[in-house]
Amino acid sequence: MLHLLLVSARQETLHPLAEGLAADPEVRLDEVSSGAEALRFVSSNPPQLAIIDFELPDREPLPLVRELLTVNAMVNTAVVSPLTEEEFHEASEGLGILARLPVLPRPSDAVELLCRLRQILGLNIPP
Amino acid sequence: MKTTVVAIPSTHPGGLDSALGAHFGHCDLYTLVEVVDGQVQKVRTLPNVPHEQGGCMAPVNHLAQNGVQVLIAGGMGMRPLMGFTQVGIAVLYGADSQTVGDAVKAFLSGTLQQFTSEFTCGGGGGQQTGRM
Repeated sequence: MLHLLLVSARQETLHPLAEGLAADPEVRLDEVSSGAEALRFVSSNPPQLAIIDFELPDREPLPLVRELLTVNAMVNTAVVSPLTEEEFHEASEGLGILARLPVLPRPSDAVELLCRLRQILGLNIPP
Repeated sequence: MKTTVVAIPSTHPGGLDSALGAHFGHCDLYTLVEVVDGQVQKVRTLPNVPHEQGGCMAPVNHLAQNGVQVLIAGGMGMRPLMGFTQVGIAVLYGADSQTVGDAVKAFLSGTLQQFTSEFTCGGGGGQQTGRM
């Protein structure tokens, strides 16, 4: 079972991503809507992956990733970002972020993200 | 009698005469030095583990599973630094050492600084010393 946390205040916009993640029978998806809630959640119940949206009410995504690292660096992260791949790489260097997701992620982004997560966790990818 | 296992990212073939590996996660291999009561007792090598983007906890777990207590590194990102701290491995800043032997001497003389977030690459760090 893969435990994922979606951190977003844009539930409707990110619904296709959430739906794509939840469609995987091995995924348990929890959702919170602020950085503060994410920090509390990771502290008490660390997921294998936290997906962080770029328009949170209380934090920018990359500073939130840094805060999450101080709580539990073993938690993998993916970030929804309007930056280009190159800009994102430059801004996030050293944070060990698994993936950048587009601002309007699709179910196919969920599939690709789960594939990458399984790869780094050394898990078999379901057929 | 206190034994401390120190890991130093190294270039091939490893050992005290090898050059320090610039980036801890992408080094050729690690030299492991067992220090007993301030003296080097044993030197051996440990292969690195391959990992992909976002998988930088793999070398952290690898070193922890091999009993490492101290890591001397020249370059590292924020995430592995936090990871090492959380698994109980002390990280020291060794970028000024040319060889593994130099780094070990500096460790034994107590002149190495703690590797703090100011030394990390990118992500809010100051010195662009590595990209792990």
